[in-house]
Amino acid sequence: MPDACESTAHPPGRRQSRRQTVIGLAVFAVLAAIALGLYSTQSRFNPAVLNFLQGAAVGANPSASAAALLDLPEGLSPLSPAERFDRETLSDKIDGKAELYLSAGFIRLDSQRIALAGRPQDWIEVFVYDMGSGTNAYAVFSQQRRGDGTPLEIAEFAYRAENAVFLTHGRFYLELVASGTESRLLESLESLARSFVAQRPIARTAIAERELFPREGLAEASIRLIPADAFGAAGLDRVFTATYAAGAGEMTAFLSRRESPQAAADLARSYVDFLRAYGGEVSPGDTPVDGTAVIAILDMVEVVFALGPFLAGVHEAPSREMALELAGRLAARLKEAPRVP
Amino acid sequence: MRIVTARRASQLFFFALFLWFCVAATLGERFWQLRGWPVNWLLDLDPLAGIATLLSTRTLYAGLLWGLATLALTVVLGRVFCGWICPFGAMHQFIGFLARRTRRLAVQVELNRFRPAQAVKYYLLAFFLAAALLLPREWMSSGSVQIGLLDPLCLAHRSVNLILLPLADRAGLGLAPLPRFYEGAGLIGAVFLCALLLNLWLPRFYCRFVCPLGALLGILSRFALWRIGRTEEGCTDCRRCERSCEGACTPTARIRIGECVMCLNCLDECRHDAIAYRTRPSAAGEALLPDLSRRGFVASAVSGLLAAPVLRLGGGAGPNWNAGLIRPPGALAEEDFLARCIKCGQCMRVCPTNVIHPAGLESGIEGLWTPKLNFRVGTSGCQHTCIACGHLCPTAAIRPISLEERTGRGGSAGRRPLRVGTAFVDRGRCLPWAMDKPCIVCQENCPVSPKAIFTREVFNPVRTGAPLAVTGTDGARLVLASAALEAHRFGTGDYHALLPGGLRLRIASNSADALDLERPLGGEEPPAPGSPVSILVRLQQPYVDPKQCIGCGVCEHECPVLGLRAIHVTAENESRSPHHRMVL
Amino acid sequence: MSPEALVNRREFIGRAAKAGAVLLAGGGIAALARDPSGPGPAAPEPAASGLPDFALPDAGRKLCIVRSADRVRSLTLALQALGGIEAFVKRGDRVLIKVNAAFASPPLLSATTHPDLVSELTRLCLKAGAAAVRVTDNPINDPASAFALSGIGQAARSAGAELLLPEERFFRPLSLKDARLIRSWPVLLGPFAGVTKLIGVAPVKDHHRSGASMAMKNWYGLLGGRRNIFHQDIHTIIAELAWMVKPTLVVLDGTTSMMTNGPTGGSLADLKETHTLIAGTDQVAVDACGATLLGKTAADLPFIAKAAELGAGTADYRSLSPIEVAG
Repeated sequence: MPDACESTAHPPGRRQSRRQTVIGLAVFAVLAAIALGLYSTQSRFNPAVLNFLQGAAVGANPSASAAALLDLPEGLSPLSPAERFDRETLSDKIDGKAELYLSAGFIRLDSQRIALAGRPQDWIEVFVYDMGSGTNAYAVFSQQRRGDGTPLEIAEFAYRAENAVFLTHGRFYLELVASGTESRLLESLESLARSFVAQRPIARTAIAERELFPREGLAEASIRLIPADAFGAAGLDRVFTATYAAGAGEMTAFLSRRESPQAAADLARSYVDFLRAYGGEVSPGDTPVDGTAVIAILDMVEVVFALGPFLAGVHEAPSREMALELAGRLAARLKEAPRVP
Repeated sequence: MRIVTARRASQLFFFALFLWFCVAATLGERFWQLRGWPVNWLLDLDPLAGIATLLSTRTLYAGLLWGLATLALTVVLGRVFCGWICPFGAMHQFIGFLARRTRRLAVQVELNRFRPAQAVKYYLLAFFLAAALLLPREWMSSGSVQIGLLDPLCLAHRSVNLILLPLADRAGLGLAPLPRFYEGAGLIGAVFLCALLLNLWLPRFYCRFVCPLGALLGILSRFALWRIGRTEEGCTDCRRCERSCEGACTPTARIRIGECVMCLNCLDECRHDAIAYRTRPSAAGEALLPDLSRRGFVASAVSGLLAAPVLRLGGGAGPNWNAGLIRPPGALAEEDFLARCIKCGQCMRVCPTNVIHPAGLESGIEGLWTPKLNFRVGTSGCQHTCIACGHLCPTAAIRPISLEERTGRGGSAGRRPLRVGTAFVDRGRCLPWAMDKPCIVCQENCPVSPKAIFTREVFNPVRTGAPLAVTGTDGARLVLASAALEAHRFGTGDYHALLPGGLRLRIASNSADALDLERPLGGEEPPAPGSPVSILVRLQQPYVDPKQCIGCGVCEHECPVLGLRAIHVTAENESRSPHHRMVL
Repeated sequence: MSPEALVNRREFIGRAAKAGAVLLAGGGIAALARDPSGPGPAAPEPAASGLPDFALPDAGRKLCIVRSADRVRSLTLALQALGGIEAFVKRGDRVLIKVNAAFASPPLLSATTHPDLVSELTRLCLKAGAAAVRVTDNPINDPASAFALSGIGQAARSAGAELLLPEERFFRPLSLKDARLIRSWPVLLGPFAGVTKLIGVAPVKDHHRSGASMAMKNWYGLLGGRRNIFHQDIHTIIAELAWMVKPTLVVLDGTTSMMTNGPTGGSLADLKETHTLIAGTDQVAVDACGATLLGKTAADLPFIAKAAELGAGTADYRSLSPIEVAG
């Protein structure tokens, strides 16, 4: 019988096969839709996974629990337990950068990852540095100032970079770094920052030295406080610097309030010696303030003087004229400065 | 494209999906881990799970609603689930296909002959559904879901989760950081292998003779709008259609609609356009189901109805409960648990520490392959901030609990944490209790705060053979009369010297004939030459505080007495059973 | 259309209708039974919140101490002194007598309420016009043997009372408001159905765990479940029981007191003929008075002070001006 079958065999009719093809394709479409549907669910994490990602610190330490470093605004929840680092352990968290903070009076760092509710792949890491004083906080803030930041009015010193917000608030220096650049995430950055500031009302501490720089030609965002070893010179600590336009290039004015006029004069002398030791040559001439040293070093001009309790001067100016001009303006401002801070 | 190509694609798709879901049932956020994947979807699609739990609890839990979709599919199109979706069926079909492809047509047709034994699965279905039926509690204890034993989705999930994936891991797949073990894997593997190998004898053996889901869908397909059947003309009785008939439903003769698994191989094979899938019944006639004897049906139903009540006379869920059976956190009380567990093994798969294992007979035969905790096996105890198992259970036999409920924080003040049992110290085996060896590993690892294990300090004399006597002192050194000590043995910080007058000082180090104390004697009188000195070992002996203990088993897992652990968790005080309360 | 096609069409429509019906039924059942969130934590059954107050509002706090070697006579004298049984049981009342039938122990060993008191009290209540008298307890030993061997069962029945053994269905969960221990605990509530008066009758016994077992501890026999767990906080549970149960009258039989080895005793050497019966409406005062028979004071029995604190009565029984009768 099988042989008889085979001799009369013919393939199924065309209409039959077209119907089968259509149905077959429809089935493929359904399978594809199922696959897509299933794939779309995979980003809504199972509560067990969300809990798993929060880490096991919850049970061990009830008070630290999933309690956040700050009161979190709506829509944000902690993703990992809060961590604390002191002077010994800071480098465990930020490695080599620890030096910057340690030299500026660092006391403690509290950090935590905060995620957008239900989206643990979008998180913000909050770093709260307790620097001990507003000046110290300003020091680390200003030293890491990214040039391309947009100033924010959340705090006296605050700006936003592409995926982060930086600010100082009293003795705290805050860094909020987002894991991505999604807009919701960036909004959360600012609301977190506002939340932090709002929870800790403080009197705004003015940093008087900032006002002492002459305004003209000053790149506003360039004022920096270098807590130690400014310009590579040991002993030059607590130095404020500001950048000025100098023709096509730039130059830096600096000032530092010392304990006494004598201390300022001594420091000026030792800095000059330092420059001379590195090949600087004193260049005599008229200077705005008695005792000003003008030193040419490595194609640049340095001006150093002491005025009252201030050590001040110009650093890396392209020419003597520009350096002295700026120095003069600076000296004028310093003369008007209140003697008592 | 032939329709069977679409069918094969669909089978492949669902088989791959099934494997993917099994792999993805791992806690984590990587792409191959759980994330939000609906890993229970195939189990949810299984209407037998939904119907059985509906009978036993009078509720239909969450995702089991998907069973309606399969029901609708079957009622309208026939047993498409069996032929196109079921991954277990696909496995059987594939093995059967490999086994028979080289054989002659006549043999192949003979293998696919309808056999009356195909009625057995209907009796099995009747048995399981009757066993699941919840009678009014005052009548008798009932409502035992046992479909998990033979349901194809449950069996397949269990076998892949507990047998294939651990084997694949060891062979290099490396999903789990440490190789996973599962108690009783032998029996589970044997059943799985047996089911698959039976296809070497008859194709789709399991589907035809055993599968209760197939029986259910077979019954439901009686009103199918479209059905396979012979056309009025064209058939030459060549029997080619039966060469690959998966359901053994005899499409040439009076087709048994309930047995047809919609593989459409007959349609594909027929050279004469004599087989069609159409709204008209087969021209050769239809039989809806195999001949079922009423007596057989009654026998199965009655045995099913009596199964749970009779088994529970043993008191296993009552006064004779097994304290060695520790259920996962969030599990319901035993009778309610047995009314829901479908033995799918998802909880065992997702448990991050590999402490959930399939039970043997600890809870009687009803509890076979239901989850229980074994703290000796696994990477740690039951992590007390983990809530994974309940969030993966498709039937809520293990409830999905929140972290607050698990740890007892949040919510109403004074709420206690969830307990799965209580640890008991076996003082006859514990090192500081019975062997004079310092150890407090259990106390160190207890995860709750305040700890559920506390210690009391005792000083026990160390046997040093002959009594020791001091001949003199030299600063912090006590020189002894004989040189009988093992050098450095007493320098671990746990040993103290007891001097005459009751002064006890820690021994920093020792040599064969001298003890170096932690400090010189200072103002105290040095012992007279010849006076006795003894060595004491400081032991911290562990006690369990039952008010704090949650039974997480980390202590048992860490206990260095590796055989029978010196601290062992049993189910007293478990939250799920108020009757098992041990302390107020 | 050909007749064949018509038949096919009708058959198809019939099948389609049945298919639709099956789907509808399935969908309907699924919709009704849907449970998206699953079972919650072991939700306790809705619990009763307490027992009715059986104390007579105008009876006041009264106490009577009778010294006699004949307990039935003591009972009669005591009731007379308190105003007669009619002062407590009125026509039509349904009275529940809560006895101590804890052990399958013969009356001679004084571990249980003496059957003579049970039958006399029943007789008096029925004489005063009670519509029914019930006798109950949840013994520690097997109930049937306990009621039989202690003689209480026979005494109750022969006097015309209904004996209610503790069946599973009589226990229902009860949560006493603001109590710490009696929370959703099975209590023998069944026998209380329709009851209007409650009388407790208990012997004076030493108790190894609590110091003494007298009128207040008698209510322990209303607890079900694994009640042994309360031994971990015995004085609080007795106090909460005294707070929960507000009887019409309690009778404390110290005619023969068990001085040692309580609550089971087991030897005549444990007993002493103290020949005193105390009856009253303030169970704390009754127990404080009964303590003296055991050579103890209220201060030796912490549950007395705890019960007084909870407002169940006063420990200073003398302040109630007890009526002392020598019989």
